[in-house]
Amino acid sequence: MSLQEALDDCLIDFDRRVLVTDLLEKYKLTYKEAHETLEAHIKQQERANNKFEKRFLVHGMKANGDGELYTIVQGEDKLKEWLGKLQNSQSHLYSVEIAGGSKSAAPIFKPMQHVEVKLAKLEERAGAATSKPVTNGTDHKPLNGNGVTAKPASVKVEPTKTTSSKVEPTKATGSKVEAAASKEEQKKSPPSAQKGKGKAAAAPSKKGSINSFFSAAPAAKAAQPPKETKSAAGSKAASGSMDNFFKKQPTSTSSESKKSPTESVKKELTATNTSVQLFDEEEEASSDEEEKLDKLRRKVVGSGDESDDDDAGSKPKTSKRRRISDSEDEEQPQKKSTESQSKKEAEVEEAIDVDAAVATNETFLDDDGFVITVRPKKQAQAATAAKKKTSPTTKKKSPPAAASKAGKMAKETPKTKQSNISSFFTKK
Amino acid sequence: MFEARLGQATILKKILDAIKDLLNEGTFDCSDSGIQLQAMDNSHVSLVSLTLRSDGFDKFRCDRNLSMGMNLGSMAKILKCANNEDNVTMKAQDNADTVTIMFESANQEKVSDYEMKLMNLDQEHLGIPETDYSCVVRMPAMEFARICRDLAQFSESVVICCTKEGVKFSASGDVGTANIKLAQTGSVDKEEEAVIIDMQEPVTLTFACRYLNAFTKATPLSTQVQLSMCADVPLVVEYAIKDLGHIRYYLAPKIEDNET
Repeated sequence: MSLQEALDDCLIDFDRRVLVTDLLEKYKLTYKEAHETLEAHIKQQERANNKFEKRFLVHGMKANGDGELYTIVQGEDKLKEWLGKLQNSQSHLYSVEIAGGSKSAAPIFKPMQHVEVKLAKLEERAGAATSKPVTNGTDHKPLNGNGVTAKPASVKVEPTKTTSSKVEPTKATGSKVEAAASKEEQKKSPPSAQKGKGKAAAAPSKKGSINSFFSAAPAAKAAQPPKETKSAAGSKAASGSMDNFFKKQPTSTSSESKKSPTESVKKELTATNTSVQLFDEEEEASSDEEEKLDKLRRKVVGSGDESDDDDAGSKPKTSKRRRISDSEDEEQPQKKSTESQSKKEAEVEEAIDVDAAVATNETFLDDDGFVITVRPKKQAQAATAAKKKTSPTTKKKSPPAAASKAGKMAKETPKTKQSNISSFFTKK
Repeated sequence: MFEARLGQATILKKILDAIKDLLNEGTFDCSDSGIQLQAMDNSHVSLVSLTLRSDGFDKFRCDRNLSMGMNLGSMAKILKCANNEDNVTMKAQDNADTVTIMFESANQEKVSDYEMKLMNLDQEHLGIPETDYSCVVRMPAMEFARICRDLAQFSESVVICCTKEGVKFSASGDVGTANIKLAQTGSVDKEEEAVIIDMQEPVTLTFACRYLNAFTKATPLSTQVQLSMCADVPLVVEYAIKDLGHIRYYLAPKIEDNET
């Protein structure tokens, strides 16, 4: 049904305040269409001595440059007054009602529920979907001061939301309500943002485009080296003493549990590589899972002595592990490897007389906390060249007969290039 | 008005198959003497020259000279819709932008026609001078195709050496070397199996295998192929189309790279 039909059939009750936003929403019209139809109807009605009270939304810049102002003014006289007050002001018809007091007041401000562009992160508040024409209670009057103007800040924010700004009939002040709402939003928004991020991250992989496969490979490679160094270090150290270490492990942990956590940490820090390996291995079963298990255990066992002991034993264990895994101890083998690398590089540098100023290594910590050493291209190339020079074992020896044959063939078949056919014929 | 009718669609099919690998598009120049097409491949290394004489057609009418630029792939697709024994008729109005290709079955029970859009192709036409070739080799088309196919496995290039003794095709690459010698046949029962060499002076030229293999797509058109060679002149590989005309491929030789 169109708005015109609804007006003609008196389906719109002007005894209640009729908001233009409601009409826009209900009849899915543009503001211009709704306004024109409504104006026409009002004029027609006014000819029959029906008087209407109009409210206008005024928007403009404050004269003193304090910023934007949105306000709703009652009557055309006040509208003119406000338009004069504000700079770059504009006004729109906001609501219409029968003059002389409507039977039930409409909400002072009710933003659009229907939005042309849906914002990605917007969540509909529960109950917002089932919004009925709400009548304002008397409690709300203080919120809008004189009942006409609204606070620009609150008005400014709200039109962007799809959630209704219905104020629940609590006795809280406007500011409190706002604060609560903003808190609510803060609480809500992070997960939604995370969701969005997650979706964004997952989207390319879901699509399964060929790019995703290929682009992933170098990244994986880039991520691999630290792991490799880790595992390499682990395997080196583990070669002889892995079994022994596991045998020793229970005794060491039991003794550690008796000692204070700090002491145990110190001990771990000063421990040899074998301890690092243990954590590397155990890291695979993540510490988070361990924690969960511990919590479960605690819950199940309750407050018995045994459980306390368990806790005492397990708590420092996990914390210790965390500290150690977060500490520099994990990075030591890498550092060592990088040091050895840099030493080698230095040697190579000397060997090939690369300019020291140009060929400086760039060492930095990456996002994951790994030490990355980047060699300049020149140096890298020179290094590879030097390696080629210095490592005769890598050279593939081709059978002499084949080599000589190839040489012969090269001699026999002179290098040729393809000529162009048009160079042999003249253009017509 | 242009109208050309051939008794067997298979000939036109074979012609299209012979050129569509080298050329994506081509302009058929129609005149009262017949249909001609000349075009270079995309890399401008080879040139295709097709001549179909008007007297070779069952019916040929060309009121005005007409150039019909066609997508050869599309035309080949259309021709695939024809049965080998169908009559094929090509029709076009003067200044028309489409050509109609009509297939009629032998008993006239089935008639199908296809309309294809013509293209405005801006192609260069090259003047091919008459050349006295030092060596002209006539040999079975199948044999030539086989040689080209085999040698392509060894190298990108084939050296064709024509001497008194015969013609030698050789290729050398990483795999090794391959030499195929064909001597002139003394006396053969079947003319199409003969290898005939007409040599004024020996010639050795190097050609790209890839193009030679593309030329051999015309093998179904003719039992014999003629190779005409002269030093520093493009090789001519000619397949005669019986009673209708010929298709000639010109291939620029590979020349010694002096820079290296």
